[in-house]
Amino acid sequence: MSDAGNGSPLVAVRELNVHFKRSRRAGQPVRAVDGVDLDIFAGETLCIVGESGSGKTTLVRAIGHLAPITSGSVRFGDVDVAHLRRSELRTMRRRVQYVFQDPFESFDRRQSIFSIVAQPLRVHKLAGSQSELEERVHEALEECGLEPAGEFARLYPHQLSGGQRQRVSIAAALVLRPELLIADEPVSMLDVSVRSDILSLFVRLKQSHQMTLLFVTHDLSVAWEIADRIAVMYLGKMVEEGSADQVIGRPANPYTHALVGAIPVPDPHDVAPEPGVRGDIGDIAGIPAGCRFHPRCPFADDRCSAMIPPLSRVGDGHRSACVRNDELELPAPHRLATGSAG
Amino acid sequence: MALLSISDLTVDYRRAGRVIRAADGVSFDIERGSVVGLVGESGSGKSTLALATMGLLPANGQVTGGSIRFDGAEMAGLEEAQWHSVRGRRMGMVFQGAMNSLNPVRRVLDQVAEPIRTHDPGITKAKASDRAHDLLSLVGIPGDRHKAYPYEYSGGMRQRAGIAMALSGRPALLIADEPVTALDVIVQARILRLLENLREALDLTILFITHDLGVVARLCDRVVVLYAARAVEEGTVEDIYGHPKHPYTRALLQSVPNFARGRGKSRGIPGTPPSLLSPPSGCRFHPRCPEAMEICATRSPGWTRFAGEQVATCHLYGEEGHSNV
Ligand SMILES: Nc1ncnc2c1ncn2[C@@H]1O[C@H](COP(=O)(O)OP(=O)(O)OP(=O)(O)O)[C@@H](O)[C@H]1O
Ligand SMILES: Nc1ncnc2c1ncn2[C@@H]1O[C@H](COP(=O)(O)OP(=O)(O)O)[C@@H](O)[C@H]1O
Ligand code: SF4
Ligand code: SF4
Ligand SMILES: [Mg+2]
Ligand SMILES: [Mg+2]
Repeated sequence: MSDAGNGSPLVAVRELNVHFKRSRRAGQPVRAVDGVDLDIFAGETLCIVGESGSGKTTLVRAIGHLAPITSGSVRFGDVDVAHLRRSELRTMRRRVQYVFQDPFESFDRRQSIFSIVAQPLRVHKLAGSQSELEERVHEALEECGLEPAGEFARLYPHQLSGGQRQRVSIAAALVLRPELLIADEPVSMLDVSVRSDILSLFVRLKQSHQMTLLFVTHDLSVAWEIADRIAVMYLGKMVEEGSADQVIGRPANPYTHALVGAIPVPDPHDVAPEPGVRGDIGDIAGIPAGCRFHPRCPFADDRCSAMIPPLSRVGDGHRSACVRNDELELPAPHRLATGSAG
Repeated sequence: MALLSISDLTVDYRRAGRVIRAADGVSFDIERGSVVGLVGESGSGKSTLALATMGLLPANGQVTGGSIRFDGAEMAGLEEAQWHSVRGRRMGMVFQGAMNSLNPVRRVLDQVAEPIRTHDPGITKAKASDRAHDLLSLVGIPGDRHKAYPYEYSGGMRQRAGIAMALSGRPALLIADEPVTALDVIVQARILRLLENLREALDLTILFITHDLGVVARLCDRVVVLYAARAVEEGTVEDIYGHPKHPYTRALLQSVPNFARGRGKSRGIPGTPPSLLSPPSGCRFHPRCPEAMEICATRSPGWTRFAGEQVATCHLYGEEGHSNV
């Protein structure tokens, strides 16, 4: 259990497994999420970070009842997500909203921006009259920086830039006034030049609407911009968790350390360390025994293939899953100026 | 003499009876053995410049002005037949999205061997296959994986295979269009390192295209910044990162998260890149520029030359030492 945050979490994930059967022949199932524990506290921005295929999407989909839970539990407030009743499912769909990665594919091109944003309100029958519907749609568009809302409402997706389309997806999530907003790689497809405005939009909306933000990214520099806490996944397992300053400024886990070290820095004099990590996450046929990172880890020893290290405490609210937690002194990633955004 | 010299290049696309000028008087040189970064937002014309240089513009696209000199020879008006001796041989290209463009049902080794045989029709099948093995090893794919199918590869490995294919004709110039954009950071760092090593080992000249100023600082010698189909600033990496002159370059740098600057300090560029169907008058950046003045909306700024070889086009600087680089 995490010792970060106050009181009981908004979302409590316990020993969550989401396994998929492989289609070709029988074989081992894909353990997309494997024994994950995670707390999400009301009002925080929690970033899930990890390489492609690490299980980030599957985890956040399971939290919103969009992926089948193989075993373990997800509690959202007092709702048991794994065993939702029909009536609960409907409320759940409103309380948790998603924004996905690809702003180019997530819309029906024949729908106007107005109907895209109005649709969730219609589905949940949340607007009494046409004028109320219009009011709420325009309000959401304005809040997402699409002004004048009346003009944007009349446009179609192909008339918008990638960043504007992503603002529309955020507006469509916002109209339902969710408690938990889950964003899965919402800026990965966008130019760097528009990313930071979208990120600050998320942060602003989270505050003004008193939402909780669960944000998935493969890019630690994005997490660094907005996260209160960061949880790092590797091949279905959570390997490190802590405040943004802890995870990025003083990573305890060798995998996180490698991730931080690989972040490109816009400085020609930067001496990026040689990535000590071998191979790619996807080079691995099947899941390695023991610590899943051991075939690539520059610090691995005999113990690493023999036991699966549990996520254990390395500092206040800071946990790492590594058999060498107590002995490794990882050099601070010297390129970072830590200190919070305030 | 520069290996590649692009001067006053204009490229037009025709779409539904309208003309989109995707390169509008672009000029820059790439010296032999150097790495030049071509940086700009999506739609600024980066891929267009790459495709024009490779003679691979789609049927509705055409070079309508200026010149592309490669190794001293003019490429701009070449007939398709003449391109064959250049493309893939003296120039190789890693395409945007190359990762996803391998044929899913052919073994990677065979796909890498194919361009080798095209470039060298006399080569035996076994020799071509040997060379494909060499290339795949060169880009860091372990020997026991050469005969796998693309779906058995990770994104990073597919990108390495794409680089191997681009190298199959032993090119002098490698054009890499957003080769790391979709990759995870560790893989991205390793691909960048690979390009660095290949440059040394093969004496390559590289044109590296990206929208992210964060990734090119270390690899490149020079950077050309493109905005709405025009070059707006060019200089060494020290110039561009140390003392950028053009407000757009500055804004691009501000938008990159920079750990050295601390958290929450990056700022996006307001507005969106203009449509090239109806680009803004005067300086094309003026609707988004924090420093725009009256003159900016009506007159296109000329080039100003700064210390060293840094050049920028912006009314903030007048036009001393003006030269149409
Ligand atoms: N419906 C499914 N059926 C079978 N396997 C699946 C399914 N969904 C996900 N997987 C597998 O589960 C693993 C984790 O996938 P997931 O999409 O959650 O990763 P991710 O961290 O979100 O990756 P990315 O960064 O590529 O989005 C992968 O090996 C994936 O192929
Ligand atoms: N095949 C094409 N037909 C018509 N217009 C095109 C074509 N390819 C690119 N364009 C247009 O040319 C401009 C520059 O595009 P591109 O060179 O792909 O930019 P970048 O690579 O910088 O994103 C854009 O306005 C784009 O829509
Ligand atoms: S347990 Fe071993 S292999 Fe895993 S991260 Fe720690 S040192 Fe590396
Ligand atoms: S010419 Fe004017 S609008 Fe253009 S970049 Fe310079 S100051 Fe800004
Ligand atoms: Mg995902
Ligand atoms: Mg492009």
